[in-house]
Amino acid sequence: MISIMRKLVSVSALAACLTVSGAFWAAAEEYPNKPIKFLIPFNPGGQSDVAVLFLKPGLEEYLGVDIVPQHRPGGGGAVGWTMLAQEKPDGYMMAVTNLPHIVMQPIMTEGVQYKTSDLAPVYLYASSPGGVAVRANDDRFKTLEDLVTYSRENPKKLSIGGTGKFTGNHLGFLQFTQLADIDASYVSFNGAAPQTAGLLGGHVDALYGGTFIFANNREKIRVLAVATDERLADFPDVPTLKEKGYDMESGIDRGVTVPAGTPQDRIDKLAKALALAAKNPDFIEGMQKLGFQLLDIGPEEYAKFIQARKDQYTKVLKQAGLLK
Amino acid sequence: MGNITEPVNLLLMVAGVAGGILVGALPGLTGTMAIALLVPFTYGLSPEGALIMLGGVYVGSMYGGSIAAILINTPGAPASIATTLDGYPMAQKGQAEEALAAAATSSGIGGMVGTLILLLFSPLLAALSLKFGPPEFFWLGIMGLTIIAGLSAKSLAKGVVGGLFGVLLSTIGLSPSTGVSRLTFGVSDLLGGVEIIVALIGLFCIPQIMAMAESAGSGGSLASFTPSRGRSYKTMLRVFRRWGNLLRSSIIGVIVGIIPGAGGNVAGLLSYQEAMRAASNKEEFGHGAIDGVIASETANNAEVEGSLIPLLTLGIPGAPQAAVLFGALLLQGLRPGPELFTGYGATITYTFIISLFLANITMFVLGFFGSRYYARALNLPLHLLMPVVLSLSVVGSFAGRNSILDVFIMLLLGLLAYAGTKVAISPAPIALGVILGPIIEQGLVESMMLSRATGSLFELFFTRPISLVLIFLTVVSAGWPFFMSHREKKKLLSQGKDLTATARPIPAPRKAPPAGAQSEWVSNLWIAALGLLVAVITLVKLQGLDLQTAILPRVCAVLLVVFALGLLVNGIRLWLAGRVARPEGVPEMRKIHVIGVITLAFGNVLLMPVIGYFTTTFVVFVLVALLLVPKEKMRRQAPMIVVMALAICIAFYLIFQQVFNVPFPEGLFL
Repeated sequence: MISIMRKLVSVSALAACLTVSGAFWAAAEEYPNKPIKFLIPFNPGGQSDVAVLFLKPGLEEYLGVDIVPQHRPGGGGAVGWTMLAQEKPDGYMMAVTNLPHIVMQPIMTEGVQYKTSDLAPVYLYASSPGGVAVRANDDRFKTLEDLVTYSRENPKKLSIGGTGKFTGNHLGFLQFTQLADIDASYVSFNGAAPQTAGLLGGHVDALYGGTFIFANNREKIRVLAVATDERLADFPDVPTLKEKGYDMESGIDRGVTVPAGTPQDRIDKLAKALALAAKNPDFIEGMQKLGFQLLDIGPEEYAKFIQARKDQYTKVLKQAGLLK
Repeated sequence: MGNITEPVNLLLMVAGVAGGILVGALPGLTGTMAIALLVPFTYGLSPEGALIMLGGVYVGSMYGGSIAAILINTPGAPASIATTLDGYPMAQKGQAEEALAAAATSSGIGGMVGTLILLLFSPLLAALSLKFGPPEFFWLGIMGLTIIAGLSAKSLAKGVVGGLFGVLLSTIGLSPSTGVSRLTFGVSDLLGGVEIIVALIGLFCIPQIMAMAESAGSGGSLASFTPSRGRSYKTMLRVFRRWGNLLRSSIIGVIVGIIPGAGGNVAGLLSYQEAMRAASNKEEFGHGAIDGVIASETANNAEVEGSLIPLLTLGIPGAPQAAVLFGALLLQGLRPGPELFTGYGATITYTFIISLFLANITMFVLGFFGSRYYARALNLPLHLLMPVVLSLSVVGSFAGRNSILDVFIMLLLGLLAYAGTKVAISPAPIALGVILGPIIEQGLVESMMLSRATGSLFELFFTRPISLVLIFLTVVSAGWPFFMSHREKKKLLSQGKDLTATARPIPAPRKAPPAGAQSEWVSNLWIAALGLLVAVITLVKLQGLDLQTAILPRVCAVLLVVFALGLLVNGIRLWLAGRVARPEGVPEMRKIHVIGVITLAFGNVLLMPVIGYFTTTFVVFVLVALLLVPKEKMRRQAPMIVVMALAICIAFYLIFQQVFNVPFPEGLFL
């Protein structure tokens, strides 16, 4: 009923506008003037949901229109990003966008019908860094050196659990084993829960996973190293891989994109709104509780960031012989 | 502990349970979706309030699924799939109220036993849950598949073909383990695969709709239901006497619950299987055995508490619903693990656990006393009930992923399942394959990856203790139908009876064959032809893929070829032997209804994006109802039909669009 009313109102408004064409153009130029869809390419209840939930009030306040979250799960996000890529580039749909997903899917997965360049970067708000962890009671691996030494002496024997292939965890695993020059066996679990259970149950020796897992299993898991530039405030005693001589950073980087071709001023407006919304204390608190590291990166830097990640990951895949 | 009796918390719990029942009863809306939707709202509540409410939704939705399963043979949520197997036949025999009351009672008992186990044995069971690694997962899935042997007493080959087809369906899209896509036929939306709920709605709902279309016009209803006093109470007492079944099913439910990745649907199916094995009246299963309903519903509600065990103790959710609850816990600043069982955390945790006890009682009360009212839905004339179910199938298959392709897949699978009813293939084995396929595949491929480190795949599969137990159970359950029929033969032989006359110990179904049923040899040839076609397409499409991506679909396709050839040979043999008679007592099919409904259903999908969802739903509802209404009643019924169509549209608008944020396609109109 409300929508019918809204339709009637908009039709009559349109008619009115057409008679006064000057007013019509002015109204059309005002962006935004209708609700903006916020696409979440994952199932309801995931970590992206939380981000959108807490960004929403700030965005609505700054932009003055409704933000309508919409889920389109499937194919590890590929279905949703394909939908975004095909959307009209008018700034009325944006999507939660993850790295390395949008870099990896177009090159590694047959049948994916979007290109990384179809998505225009707007704002990068958080990252969940990766790291290497073992069971807390596993005396074989007190330090990262123990793990590397063991794996060198026993090629293939060291099993490391991750989630999926060509994902943040898999790429982190590949880069780490390349830099450490070890031959470990990757076991791809279907999500963080089976991955954690796989480690705690002794089915795999170690895992390459997100700090999210580490933060929630402090008593049972020993984190050997994290793949960040500096030590994490949450884990002050855990060294970085860089400190250990492995020059890498990895993780899942979460941002927002719109269809390529969206006018620059609209992208800038959205970016500004997102940056302001991300100052919301609820957002900051919620993201930290879920184990995210907050970022504040605008369109230009975000584009460079994507390119840098792409270069990094393609190099890793080429070295692993997975990409020609 | 006094927190639970605070009025606000009690109110939240009752609201959660009632909402959960509604969501569970509507095919397509699941407890997972409802909990995810509520998490943001619970942010403003106290931690206890939030958990109590979400726990209520979880408990309620598990039971709610049984209502649709019993009344319209469609699992309202995947977890109630096993309930359809006997719940619907009970309703058809006029025992809808008994089935519903039994579901409510056994759900309540399962939930309470589960809560008790959660309260007393959490640490022990958490340790057990970690023992389930990839090989155990694989065997659990295989063991589940052997239910097909029990379900397909009449023709094992047909059941197996159905199961293999289901597993193949489940492998469409990205392989979760290798990230490589398969069998997507260039449709990028298929990368996400076939959603279980979409497949279930298609496989169960559409044949039901078509059956209603076939028999509509006489002004009858789906099943007769006459309320009478004291029926629910008698049923409740009857359920209490099945304490062996209740206890066994609760334990199975909890154990499946603690395994991350296996949910209520697996719990219900496995305990159904065990109930069938343990029963003395095996031949009644599938034809309205109350024990089947009890087993399924007890287990899926015990699974709720089971899935919370690894969540609360280890931070590893045992089911999708528990995964969403995990998010709610974290947002409340609660970290699963020891913190939840000491100090401040313990207060919240124990309040939550006790609230689950009360939630199960609330669910029982709402379900039990509602039974006779829910059952009245059956008395709706077919020309009204059928369009309601059709609209529900469309909205339910769309709402999960907001995808029109999903509606299309649902209809396509539905038509296939409908055709299956003509050649004596039931949808249950296909559904089983869809549900268990991913579990088997993950177990298999993860084990293969693991074997690179351990050195031997054989050792992984055949030397681990839990695996051995599962293998033993698998062999027993795959074998018992044959063993039983062998023993039966022997007994008959020893009594000197003529074997050819009683070769089949399992009595023929008491139902008449469906309209348009084919003779056995024609059925076999059809299934063989389709099976071979599917297998060949699969094998061709899998060419060039790596071993781990292709292994499960490839093995299934090869097995499909074997069984299809078997059916082919058998069909030819029957034909040569001159056994070509069509089944007796096949009722006449109203072809015009069937063709009309199929056209309207597909028209519905095609028109949705053009003229808008609500307009389409309204128009299709009215047209379908007018097509089915008996001529002489047309005039009197027309206003009722329009009112009903409007009511459905408004209800969908309020529930799906306003509450669940489903973005319905808007076209020219709404």
